Amino acid sequence: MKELNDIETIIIRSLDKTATEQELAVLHGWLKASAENKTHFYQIKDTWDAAGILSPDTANAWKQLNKQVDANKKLPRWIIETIKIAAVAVLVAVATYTVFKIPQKPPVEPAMAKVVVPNGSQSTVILADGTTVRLNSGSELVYPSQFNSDVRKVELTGEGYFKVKHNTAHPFIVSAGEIDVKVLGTEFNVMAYPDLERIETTLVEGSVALNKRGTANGHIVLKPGEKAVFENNELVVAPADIELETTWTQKGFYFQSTSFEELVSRLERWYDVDIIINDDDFVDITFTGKFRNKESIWQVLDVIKMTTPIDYKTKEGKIYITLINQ
Amino acid sequence: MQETKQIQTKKEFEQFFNTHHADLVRYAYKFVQRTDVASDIVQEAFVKLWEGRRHILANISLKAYLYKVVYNLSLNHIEQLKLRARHHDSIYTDLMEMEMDYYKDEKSLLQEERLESIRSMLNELPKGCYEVIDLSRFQGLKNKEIAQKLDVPVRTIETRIYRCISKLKELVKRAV
Repeated sequence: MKELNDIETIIIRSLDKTATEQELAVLHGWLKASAENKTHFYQIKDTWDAAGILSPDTANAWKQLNKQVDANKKLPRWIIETIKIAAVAVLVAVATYTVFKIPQKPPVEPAMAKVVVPNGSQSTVILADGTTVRLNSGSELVYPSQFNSDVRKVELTGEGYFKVKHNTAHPFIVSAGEIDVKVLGTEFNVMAYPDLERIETTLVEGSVALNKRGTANGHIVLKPGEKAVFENNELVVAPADIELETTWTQKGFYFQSTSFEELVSRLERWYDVDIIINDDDFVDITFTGKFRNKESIWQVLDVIKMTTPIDYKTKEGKIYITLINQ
Repeated sequence: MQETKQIQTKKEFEQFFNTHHADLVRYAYKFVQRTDVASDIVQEAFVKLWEGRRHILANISLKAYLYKVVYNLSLNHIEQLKLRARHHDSIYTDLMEMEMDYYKDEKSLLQEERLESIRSMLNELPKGCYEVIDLSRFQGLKNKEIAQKLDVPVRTIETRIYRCISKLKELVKRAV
């Protein structure tokens, strides 16, 4: 039989789990090089996986599952309600979600669930209608466990990237602060962090209508590539830099002429750290740059240092950034 | 096999569990590379299915739902790993993430209804293939151990297994 070439050797070793770290790095680079490489490798691996033995103990697993399911039944009523809510929506954030039932709702309303994504993580939620929402660090989404009214309505605090399942009969509404974003089926980003004092909606695909809550008409319709900014009680449409607004979903950040204050609050959420600055010093300072989220907070700060006259130090677990007087 | 539309009774649930459990664990293992984590993920997915059985829309296939849940839970596990490894680049989590990304739109053979007939294709492989595949994939031996057992160089075993799996891949591709 013809000998294997280098990459074939690495592939078979990676399947055998005997590849070295260097070999895996070569494999990684090779996979990234082309879609054909990926297809080739993943089809081989999939065949390997499908031919595999790994025979899980189904009988025992069933016993365990049965016990778990029965135990849930004997729990107090409110816990069962909570678990039910948890079960209807597919939550991705195993460690990060908290789910509860919102009280004071009339009983006819479907139960509401809430996902909280803490600083330092991200999470994806799939709603009962198949809509997916990617939630950025420090965000919350409240949504009904089932959509059984005329509209599909969810509430967002923080930032989320929505891929809404098309359904003309049941419009999808995202409530963010004072703004309602109404859609039929589309992809868009909503940023509504309470500390930012503005709400941005960027449309990637499809069409959405925005409305300030409490105003019946005078809504704004966005076209793909546009964004709507609600600031100082005004809704303004502007061209959007899609990459800038959505880099976070690929686990990176992209800042363009971002105020230093906003940069700091983004880094705090992303890395789950406390950063102290003297706001007055940084009033006129903006930052432009791109990170891939491979960097540690220290590497990010060092990059910022290269273009902005700052210095930083840590004290009692907090990061202090100061402006260097020139 | 018929697509299951709804699960009402414990009996139906058990049947559904028995049909899909093993392949779901293999599917999760593909991504998370740990049997304990894979089993937990599948367990959690089935709990969600049972607790939510009255709410899951009747027009989606329960099997597709379950695979989606397992995919999402696996993705989340890897994101957690990645978060923990944030300070040092980890080639392992990068590769895992890349594979997850590939299966965002692709189906695995493990989701195939005809998986059993695919497994039987092993018998159609050239002679000598069955021996190494059996030792590697069914008896769980490492390539090095197979080489010792058959008293040939590891390179030879690596080459044989690679060629046999490639061959199987082509057979499956033609059949699906």
